[in-house]
Amino acid sequence: MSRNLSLVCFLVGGISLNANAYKEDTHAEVLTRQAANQSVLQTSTALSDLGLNSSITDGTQQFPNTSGRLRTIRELLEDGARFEDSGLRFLQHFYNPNNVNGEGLNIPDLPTQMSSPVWALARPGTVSGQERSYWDARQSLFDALTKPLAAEREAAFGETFQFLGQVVHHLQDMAQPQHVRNDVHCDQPFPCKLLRAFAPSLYESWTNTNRGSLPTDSSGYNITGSAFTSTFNSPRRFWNTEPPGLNSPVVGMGIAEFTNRNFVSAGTNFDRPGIFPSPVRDESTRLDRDIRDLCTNANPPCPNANLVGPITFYGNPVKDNFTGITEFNQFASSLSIFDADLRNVVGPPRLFTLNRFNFSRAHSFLIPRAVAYSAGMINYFFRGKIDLVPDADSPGTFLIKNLSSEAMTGTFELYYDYDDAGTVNNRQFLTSWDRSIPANDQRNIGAIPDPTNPAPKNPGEYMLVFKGNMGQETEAQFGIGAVVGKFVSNSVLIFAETSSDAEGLNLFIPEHLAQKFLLNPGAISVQVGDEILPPMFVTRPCSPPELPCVRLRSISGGGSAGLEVTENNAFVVFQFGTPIFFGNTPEDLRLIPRETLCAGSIRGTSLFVNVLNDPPSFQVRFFFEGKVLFEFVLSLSAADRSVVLTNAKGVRLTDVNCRVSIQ
Amino acid sequence: MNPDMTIAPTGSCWVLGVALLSSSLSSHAFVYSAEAIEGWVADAETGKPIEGVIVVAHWQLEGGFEGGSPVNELKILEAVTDQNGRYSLPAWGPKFALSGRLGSKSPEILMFKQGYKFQLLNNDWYRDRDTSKSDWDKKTVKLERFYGTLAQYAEALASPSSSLWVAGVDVGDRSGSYCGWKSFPRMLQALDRLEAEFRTARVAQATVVSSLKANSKYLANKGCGSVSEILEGKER
Repeated sequence: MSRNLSLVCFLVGGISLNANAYKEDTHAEVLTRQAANQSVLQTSTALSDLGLNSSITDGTQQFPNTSGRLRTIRELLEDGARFEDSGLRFLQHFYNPNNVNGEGLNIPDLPTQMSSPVWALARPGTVSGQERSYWDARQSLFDALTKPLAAEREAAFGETFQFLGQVVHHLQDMAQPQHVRNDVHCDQPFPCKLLRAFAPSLYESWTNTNRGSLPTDSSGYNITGSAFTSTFNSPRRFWNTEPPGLNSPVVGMGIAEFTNRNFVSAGTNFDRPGIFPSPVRDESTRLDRDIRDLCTNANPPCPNANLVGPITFYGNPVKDNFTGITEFNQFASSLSIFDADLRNVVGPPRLFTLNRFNFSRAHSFLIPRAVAYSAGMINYFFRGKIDLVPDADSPGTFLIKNLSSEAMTGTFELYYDYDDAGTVNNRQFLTSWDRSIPANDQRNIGAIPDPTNPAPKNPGEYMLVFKGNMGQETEAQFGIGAVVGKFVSNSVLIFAETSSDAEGLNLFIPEHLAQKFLLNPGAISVQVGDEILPPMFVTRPCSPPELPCVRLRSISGGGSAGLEVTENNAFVVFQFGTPIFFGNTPEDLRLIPRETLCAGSIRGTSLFVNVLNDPPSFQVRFFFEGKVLFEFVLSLSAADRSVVLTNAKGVRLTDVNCRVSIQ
Repeated sequence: MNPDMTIAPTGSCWVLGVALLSSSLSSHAFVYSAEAIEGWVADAETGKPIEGVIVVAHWQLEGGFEGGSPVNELKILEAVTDQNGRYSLPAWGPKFALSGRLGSKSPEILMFKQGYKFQLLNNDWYRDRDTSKSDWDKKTVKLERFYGTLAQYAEALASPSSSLWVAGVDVGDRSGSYCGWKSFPRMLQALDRLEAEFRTARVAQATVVSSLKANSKYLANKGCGSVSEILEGKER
């Protein structure tokens, strides 16, 4: 029967042929969710750099998945982890690192089966049916940053995160021993029995049923450390760092190599020596345990509390070539008089089997790594970091900064947004520069042409996009190569109120603007309610002394205003009067746990305003050199006297509870 | 590769098609029913019954070579505990399922009352178990109060929210039925009220409710009617 005929037959039979190393719920709700939570998407400015709200779970920021439904960023990643099992994609979810050709499944008469990494990293347009690979995600990210219409960019963001979820699904598969030992499993009687392939994976069912209590803490893997990022410095190396072949699992550090080397599977257990070089059965590791002891305090409880008798376990050393740590897994495999479900006594000990005690111990090794490698892949995808800032040494010109630890060679494109009569947030290409910038270095790119036609929606706001070679991601691999974005704004950021009863707020001010303030405070004026206060003047150093700071002041009969400008936007978080955290950027602020922010107070570059008669609500406008730099409405909550800020469009700026908001 | 697990080629297409159907009839049940479920919910600390706990039970058909891929919902039922903490779900069946099979963990039961941890209950998993019975019939479930921040509470709701989304909407990609969410209106209304609290506190956490709202036009186009009317209790 031809491969095509096989496919047709499956479809005629009306079967939904979906397969997943772990069940879909395990992939989505546990492994991918935890990976997202532990990735840079949650812990850094990766999203705000792309011009997005920095929450991965915010229901007000949703993008369409490929089914057309709007989803949050984390849900898109989870959807990807689910969708990767649709159709016949499961055929590409295996990889045997021992095989010198790096093959996946090789089942006759089924559609083409390629290995997991080849499928997940396929170049767009090169593999029939694969339109959701790592490189498709790269293309989608470029589109999300550069497409003219907002709807196009939103669709592309949806694809970016969903496709990335589909890629990390593969790394999770590689943490299921059957998928790196080509141990086919099929637990639907229909059609598996018909295909003579009925072999349910008890491991997967057990894992899914107990997905609420899986050990997902991957803190043992420092995925942001240089050891990890320098080891896993290409997408492929997450699977295997060594060329496929017998030596690959022996010395490799990829997730497929780790799992293949250290774990047996149902169909490649100790009683089938010779299929794989390791692990091997070692009689000296034999250990007899009574099932009653094993079931004491077992969670979840054992299904049959009345069983009595021994289970014999065999162990093997589990070596992690990345960490260099070897731990002994006493519960690698079992000889048992019980069935695999541990519900019944089935007679004399069978050959080796795997039961819940083997699975539970395997989880402690495999689940944290599945999460860590998935989070590491997300971090890798978003590892690039760039910026566009004024060059203080050459007024009127700008620097492009490569803030990454890899050199960038390619094109830096600059875009801005505009509205027209029919559509809003259209994106317009402005200019570009071909540059090669070493890691952690910068290049002057001269002046930026004024965007005039069409006029920008928000002057001073740009999207800087890099495409080209960065580290191991190159144009030679894929036409665009790596893609990095940075939303650039010269506007002032409001990030927090200073205290619950204050009439002030903390600001991040572009450094070049701060210097202008200090050089010419008389050009600053503040409108409080209906009154425009007199120009500011320098008074005295600020307090507390920890902050290098200059205080400006303006007073009139109707009110007063003060501006404290710290050097290089320095801020400090106090708790019970003790400084506990210093920072200079919005990124620093995001590193502080919300609980700390809520319990402490923040001081930095600050604007204070007072108005006579304490009205419940009044408008504040900040002028410099005759132009409005920013404005907001300040309201006092009647309930707790907390301050509420809204911008000129009525959008609330601050957080009621701990008053932190990056705008 | 394990040689016993090689998938062997069969004859021709129509033979396979017929065989698949006959296999479906012989190898596992395709007519399902469920016995009624009665249970009680109590506070884990005080042992006192809890009134107003929303209970959603769903029987999910799974597909795929390895199983575990939701393909349809055979039944979704909702109930609310009374002053004695009692809830009951009626028996149902027979119902026919031509694709997928009822996962042995079914029914999955979700329990929610604000201030308590969301509870998700499965049947114990083992092969060939009787799926017409629930392990939780005639049982008392202890709900634990939640101690933590609102943000932590929101995060803890993510898993049940996913279950409700998949059961109520996502299975539609495989079954064509996108309106299952209308079967648990009181759960949605409770989560809607909770999301309002999240918004007030600036906790950015979407639940199944905000997902439904965001996709209201999509769902209306699928013939499901109005999300807002369900949330306002105007439609059942």
